[in-house]
Amino acid sequence: MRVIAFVKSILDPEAPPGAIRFDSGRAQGDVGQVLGPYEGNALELAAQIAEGSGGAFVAIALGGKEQETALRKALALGATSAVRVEREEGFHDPLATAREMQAAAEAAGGADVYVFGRQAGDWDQAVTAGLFAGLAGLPLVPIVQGAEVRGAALSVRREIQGGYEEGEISPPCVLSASNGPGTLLRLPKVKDVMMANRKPIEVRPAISPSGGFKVSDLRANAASRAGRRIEGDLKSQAEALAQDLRRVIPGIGGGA
Amino acid sequence: MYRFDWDDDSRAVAELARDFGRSAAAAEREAADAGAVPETLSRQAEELGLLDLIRSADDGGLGLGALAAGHAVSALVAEAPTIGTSLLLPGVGSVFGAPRGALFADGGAGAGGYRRPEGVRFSNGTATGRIGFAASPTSPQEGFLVAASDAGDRLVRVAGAALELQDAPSMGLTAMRRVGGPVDGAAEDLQAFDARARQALFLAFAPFFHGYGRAALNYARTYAAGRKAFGKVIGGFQAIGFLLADVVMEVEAAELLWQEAAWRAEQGEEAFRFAAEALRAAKDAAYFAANSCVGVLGGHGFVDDHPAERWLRDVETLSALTGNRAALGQSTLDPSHSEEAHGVA
Amino acid sequence: MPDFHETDQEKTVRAYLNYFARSEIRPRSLEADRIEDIQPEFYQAVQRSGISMEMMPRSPGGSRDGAGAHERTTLRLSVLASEELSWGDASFLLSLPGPGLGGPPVSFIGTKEQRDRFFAVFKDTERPHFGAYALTEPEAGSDVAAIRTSCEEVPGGYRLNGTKTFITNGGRADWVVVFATIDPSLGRAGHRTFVVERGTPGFSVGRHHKKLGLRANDTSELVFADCFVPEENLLGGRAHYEQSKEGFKVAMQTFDATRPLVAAMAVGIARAAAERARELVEERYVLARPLPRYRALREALDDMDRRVRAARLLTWKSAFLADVREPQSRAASMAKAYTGKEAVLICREALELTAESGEAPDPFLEKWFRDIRVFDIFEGTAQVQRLVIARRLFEEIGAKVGL
Repeated sequence: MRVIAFVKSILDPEAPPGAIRFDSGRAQGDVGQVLGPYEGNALELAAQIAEGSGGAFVAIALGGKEQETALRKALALGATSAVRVEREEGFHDPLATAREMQAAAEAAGGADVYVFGRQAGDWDQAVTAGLFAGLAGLPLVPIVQGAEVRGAALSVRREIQGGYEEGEISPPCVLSASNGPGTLLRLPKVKDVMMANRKPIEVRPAISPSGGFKVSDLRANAASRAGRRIEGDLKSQAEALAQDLRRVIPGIGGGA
Repeated sequence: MYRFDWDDDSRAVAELARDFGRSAAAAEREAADAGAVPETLSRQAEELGLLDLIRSADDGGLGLGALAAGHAVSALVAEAPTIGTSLLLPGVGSVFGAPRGALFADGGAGAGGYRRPEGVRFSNGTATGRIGFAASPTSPQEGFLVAASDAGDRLVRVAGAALELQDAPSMGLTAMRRVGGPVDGAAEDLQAFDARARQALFLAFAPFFHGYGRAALNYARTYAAGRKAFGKVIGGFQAIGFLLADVVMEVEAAELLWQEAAWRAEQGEEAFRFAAEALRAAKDAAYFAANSCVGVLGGHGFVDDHPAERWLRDVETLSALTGNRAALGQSTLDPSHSEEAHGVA
Repeated sequence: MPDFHETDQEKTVRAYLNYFARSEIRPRSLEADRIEDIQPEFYQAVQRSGISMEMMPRSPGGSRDGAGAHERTTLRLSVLASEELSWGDASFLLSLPGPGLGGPPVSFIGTKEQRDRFFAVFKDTERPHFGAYALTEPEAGSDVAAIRTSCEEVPGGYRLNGTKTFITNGGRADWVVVFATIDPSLGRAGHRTFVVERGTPGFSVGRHHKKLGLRANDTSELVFADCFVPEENLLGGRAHYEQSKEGFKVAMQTFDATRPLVAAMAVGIARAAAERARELVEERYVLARPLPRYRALREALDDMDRRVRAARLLTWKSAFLADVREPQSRAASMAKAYTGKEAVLICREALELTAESGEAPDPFLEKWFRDIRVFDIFEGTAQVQRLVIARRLFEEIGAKVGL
C-alpha cells in the first residue's frame, strides 16, 4: 500500500510561555520547532502500514523552512521521500490547506492510504483531514489509535468510552491519527537519523487556492488584576470564601 | 576562528540520544534498585544504534567522531544518568574495537610511569594478574584489557575463560555490573596502549561526567523554582541563585575544555594533556554539581525520595572507574619525567 | 561543529599585538605603575603602529545603520586583541586613545549628528584623545537605579549637579557620557544620558583615585556643579526617552559586548602570570627531577594553564554567540564571573608558587596580583554577574523566582 503522511512542525509547546509573542497575526519566538504530537502518531501509523504492506511512504508538509524539522523526522523513520510545499508560516484557511494538500498528493503520485494527525498542535482545528477526504471523495476514519494490514485491507482500532472499537477499511482511504499505545512514535536509529540529513527534500510551489477565513489579529489576554484578597484567620477565610462562592455560583450551598 | 555550534548530524543524533534518555528516565529508580537496566531498554538502545556511538567507522560504527559521539553520550546521560551510564560505560572499549559484550578493563600501569602495585601483566602471550575495578556487560564473552609489559602498556584480548570475575560492590552505579578479579590465560597482543590510546579513553569518559553535571544542575534548578521557604521560592534567594550560577559555570567550562581536546584529537594532534585535563575538570564539575544539588534539596537531598543522593554516589563511583586523581595528575606530565626515566624506584 | 583553530588573520593580529606588547608596553609597564601615568612616548608608538580602540566594536549588537545579517567576526577578533594587549599591561590597554566605554552609548543612543560630532575628535591622531563613561557614584555602584546626579531642565538644556567616581580616563577625557536623573523616585525611568565636554563650566575633575592596581590608568572623580549642558548634548534627543523602555534595554545590551572584552583582559593578565610563574619555577628548579615536591610544582603550573584555557574558552564562547547574533547575556556574564574569579586566584597562585623567603617577590607578579583584583568588581561585580546568570537559568525553564 502506498502511504502519504501529512506532517507539520510547530513551535515547541514546551517552551516557557514568556518566550512566545504575538506579532502581526503570528506567533513567534526564539523557540525551537518540533514535530506536532498528533503528526508524530500519524508518522508512526504510516511507518507501520508501509512496513506491514511492503509499501513506501511519502511525507508532505506545507510551510517554510521550519517544516524541515518534521520532514527530516519522517525521513529518519523510513519515508522514501519528503516534499515541502512552499507556503507562508502562520494560519491558513483549512479548506485552502486541504486543497493544497490534494494538489501535492496528486503531484506525488497519489496513495492508497492518506494519514493525518487528528489536529495540528498549534491551531487545533481538527478539520483538515475531513475536508481532504471530502474533496478526494474518500472514506475517513478519524481518531485512529492503531492499525494493522490485513491482506488488502486495514484493520483499525479506536478508543471509545469504556473500551475499544475495531473495524476494517479498504483503501483508498483517509485516516487521522490520535495518541495511543499503538501509535506511540518510535525513536529512529542513529544511522537513519544521519542518512535523513543527507536525503534531499523536494520543494514545490503552492497552488495558493483561496480560502474564506483570514486571521486579522492575534493577541494574548491582558493579565487580569481583578480579584479580592480574603484576609483573616483560616476559619474566617473559609467562611468568607463560602459566602463569595454562594454569591458567584448559583445553586450551591444551603443544605448538605 | 573559534566556533561553538554543532552540525546537523551531531544535533540530530544528540536529540535522538536525549529522547531515548527521556523515555528511560522513568525507569531510573527501578533500575538502580534492581541492579540492572530493564531488558527492553537495553534492547532498544542496541537497536537504535546507541551502544555503538563511539565505535569507529572501520569497525562497524557510524564514524561520528569523538566530538559528535561525546555530545550525544552526554545528552543521553543528562536525561537518564544511571541508566545511560550503565548502558554505555561498559561499551567504552568499542573505541578500541572491542565488540559488544566484551569487558574492557584497565589493568595497566598508566602513562607517565605511574605504577600500580597490582594490575594485569602481559608477557610471553599470557596475561596474568588482577583487574581491580571495572564496568562490565552482564556476561562478558571476552576481555579487552590494558596490561603492563616490558614494552610498556599494551591492549590485549583474552577469552572469557581467562577471567574469573566477581561482583565488586560500590556505592553507586548499582544498575551496572561492576567487577574485579584475577586474570590468567592466553592473551593476544592487539596494540600499544600509549598516550594516544589513553587520550581516546579520557575523551570517551568525560561526557558521562558532563551528563551528570547537567542532570544535577537541572534538577536543582527545577526544585529551587518550586520549593518555598521564608515566604518565597528558594530560587529567589541569592545564596541558591549564586550557587547554581557557579555550578553552571563549572559544568560549561568543563564541557568546553573537553570540546577543545576532542577537536584536537580529531585533527590528529597529540592531545594527551588536553584530554587528561578535560577529564579532570569534568570529574570536578560533576562532583560540584551533584554535591550542590544535594545541598539545594536540603534534607530531601539526603534521602532517596529524590535522585540527588544517588547521583552523588554515582559520580564518585564513576570517578573511581575512570582513573583516579593521582593517575590523571601523573598523566598530565611528560612521560620522560617518570620515575623509570630517572632510575628512581 | 566546535572549532578551535586560529585563522591566518587571527595569527597575524595576535603576533603583531604580542610584539607590540613586548616592545612598547612591557618595557614601560613597571615604571608607569610607579609614576601612576602612561609615558608620552607610548602614545607616539601607538600612533606609529596604528593600533587603536577602533578594534573594539562600537556597536555590539549590530550597528543602528543595519549591518549585514551575515556572521561577523568583530567581537571574536576584539577579544583576541584585548587579551594580547592586556597580557602586556591592562593599564595601557585601558589608556589607549579612543572613546572607550563612552563609545557604545554614543553609537547606540546618539543621533547621527551626535555620532558624527562626538567621534570626530578621534580623527586627530597627532595627540591622544579619550572618551569616558560616568555612571558610578560614591553611593551608587551596583545599584544603578540609585544614582543621584541630577539634571534639571532649564532653557536651552539641562543643569547637572552631582559627583561621579571611579571614572576611567575621566581626568583626561575630551568628553564624558554622564548619566543623571530628572527624578530619583522614578528609578531607571528617570535616567537621562548626556555628553559633557571638557572645559564646560561647572564640570571639573576631582581627585585622582589611588588604586591597588591598574595604577597607570587614570581613574578620577568628576564633579558637576550647576553645569549647563545644551539640549544638543542629550544623547538621542528627547524623542529617545519617550520610548524609554527601548533605551534601557539597548543600554543593557552594550554590556553584553563589553563583558567578554573585560573577561578577555582578565585572561590576558592571568596568562601573563601563569607564564611568568612557569618561567621562574623552571629557572630555579630542575623540574625533570621526579621528586614529589617538584611534581607538585609541575602540577600546579599545569593546573594554572588549564584554568587560563577554561577561562578563555568561556570568553570566546560568549564572543562567538554575539558574532552569530544569538542571545548571549548569560554567556557574557558567565565569562566575566568565571574569569574574574579564576584570574584573581591564578595571580595569587603564581605569587605563592614563586615566593621565596629572603628574596624580593617578582615585581611583575606583584603588579599583576594587584591589577587583577578589580576584574571581579568593575563592569558588574561578581555578585551582579551571578544574579544575571541565575535569573537567566530560571527564565529558561519559565520560572519566576523573584531573584
